[in-house]
Amino acid sequence: MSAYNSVTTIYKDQECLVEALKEMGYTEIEVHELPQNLVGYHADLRQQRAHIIIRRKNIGNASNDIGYLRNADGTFTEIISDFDKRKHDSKWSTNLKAKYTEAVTMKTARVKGFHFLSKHVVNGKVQLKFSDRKS
Amino acid sequence: MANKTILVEIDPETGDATVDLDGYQGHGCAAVQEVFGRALGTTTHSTKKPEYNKVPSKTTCINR
Repeated sequence: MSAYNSVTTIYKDQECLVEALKEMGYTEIEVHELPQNLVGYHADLRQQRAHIIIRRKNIGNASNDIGYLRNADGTFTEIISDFDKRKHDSKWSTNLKAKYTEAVTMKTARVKGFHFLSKHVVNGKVQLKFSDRKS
Repeated sequence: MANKTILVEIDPETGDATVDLDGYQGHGCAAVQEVFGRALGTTTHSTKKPEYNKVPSKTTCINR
């Protein structure tokens, strides 16, 4: 068939999420098998834990750690303090999601054997094109 | 045989994607649709093109 599908992105690929965070400018990212406590701006240990952590020293002097907690169903929940949401606002989150979506698309195509044809930006929208030579 | 292409368009306003499959006939691309839907998140809307209901043509080889 030929079809259009609208897909709402959910963070569930750790590798692609880390890649997207790096694309957003954070090069030092901790990835833990078991969730670790986040650290607050007073260097205090927070109750919140996360598997993927950007330490506050990489964010800003008055910042808290930013984390992504892997849930039992494999999805990730973003943990950002109210203070840090001033810098990491909805626009920042949307940019991150777009980069994650691109990373997952490229990875999925690669794993499934689709041939990458092109990447274009049309009216601000990233367009990734692949050919399917298998089916 | 028509070229089968997959176009993924990422909306900068939402970060979400639209997956456009082209050149497929019949239900053969349902698997491709599912692959991207599952990898990215959840499929919220699906629109089938007219080719959806076409049965893919088959080539039969006859040994002589």
